[in-house]
Amino acid sequence: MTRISYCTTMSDQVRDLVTERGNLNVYRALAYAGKPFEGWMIAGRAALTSTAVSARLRELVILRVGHLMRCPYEIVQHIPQAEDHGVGSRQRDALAADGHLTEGGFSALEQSVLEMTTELVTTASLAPGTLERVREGLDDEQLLEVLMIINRWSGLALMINALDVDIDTDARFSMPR
Amino acid sequence: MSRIPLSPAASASPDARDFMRRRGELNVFRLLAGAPKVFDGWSQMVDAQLDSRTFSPRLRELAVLRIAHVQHCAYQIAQHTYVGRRAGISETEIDALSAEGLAPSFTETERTVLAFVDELCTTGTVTEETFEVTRAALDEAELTELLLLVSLYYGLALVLNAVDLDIDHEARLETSQ
Repeated sequence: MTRISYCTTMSDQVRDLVTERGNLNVYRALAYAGKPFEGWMIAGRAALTSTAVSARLRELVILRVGHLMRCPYEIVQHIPQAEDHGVGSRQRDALAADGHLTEGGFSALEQSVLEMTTELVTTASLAPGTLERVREGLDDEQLLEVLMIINRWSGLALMINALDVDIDTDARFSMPR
Repeated sequence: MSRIPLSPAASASPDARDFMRRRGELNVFRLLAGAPKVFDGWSQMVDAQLDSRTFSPRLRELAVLRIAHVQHCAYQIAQHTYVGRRAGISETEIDALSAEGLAPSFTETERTVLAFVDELCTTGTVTEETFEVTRAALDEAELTELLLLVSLYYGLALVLNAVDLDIDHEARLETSQ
């Protein structure tokens, strides 16, 4: 059960952002924060609409982060996006915290990015070689964006876990424009 | 030595240049400006948090320094030791934060916030008991803003550690406008 009641009093700007993104429980719980929440939603729109990294790679990273951070809410909300980009059940299973990434049939780039994600989220650091392997397939801008995806969704997992946000019964995430 | 090259501030977008003019030409901003599709959204979020008056600068910086230590982020520690001193955090208190201990001078609210931050960042969640104690000290707006603060610095520490970003020689974060 979500540990705080949902926010019902929002500025017009915040309400528009929450509505646009699907009125999810997580947004309704965090909306009390006003301007900082609005800024967080604006940063999220940029992360979700950027074309620097493919949507498929973004969703793979988010699902892996969700599993490593023990955040079922993130996983449930992002499985539909991942499926839209061709992630099947075998790959979904491989992304689980106790799954085996090598059994997912990922491309070499996806595999190296997911290994980097795992190392960074579990140790808060990276061996130099890990980053170098990812750079064989990504330029600097893309690498930075992947790191920013790990940043955002690991931080979001902490917020969701701290508030123990209930998984939405009907509401589904909708992509910002 | 930073594992991803930094762009000169002068080559960033006009909005990014404006942000750096106001907040400082820090290596972290020059690094992230290399991902222009997400930088402006991210920097708006940073502005919203730094401009917020929900917390005193002292309480905010106590939390940030603790996160930086838990995440072993030398870059954040260096920048926020400076900001923390300006916000009235004493050398004894800075030492206590680095040892993940408590200084006698911390108030009840500060202790509650630090315990919440510690538990959330080290275990990925907080117990019902920790949540209730924190909820008794903070209202919904404060609690959700604290979560956004943790989310920002916890996630950013991962990026900084991954890149092994060089600590700034002279540039300092400007937190007041």
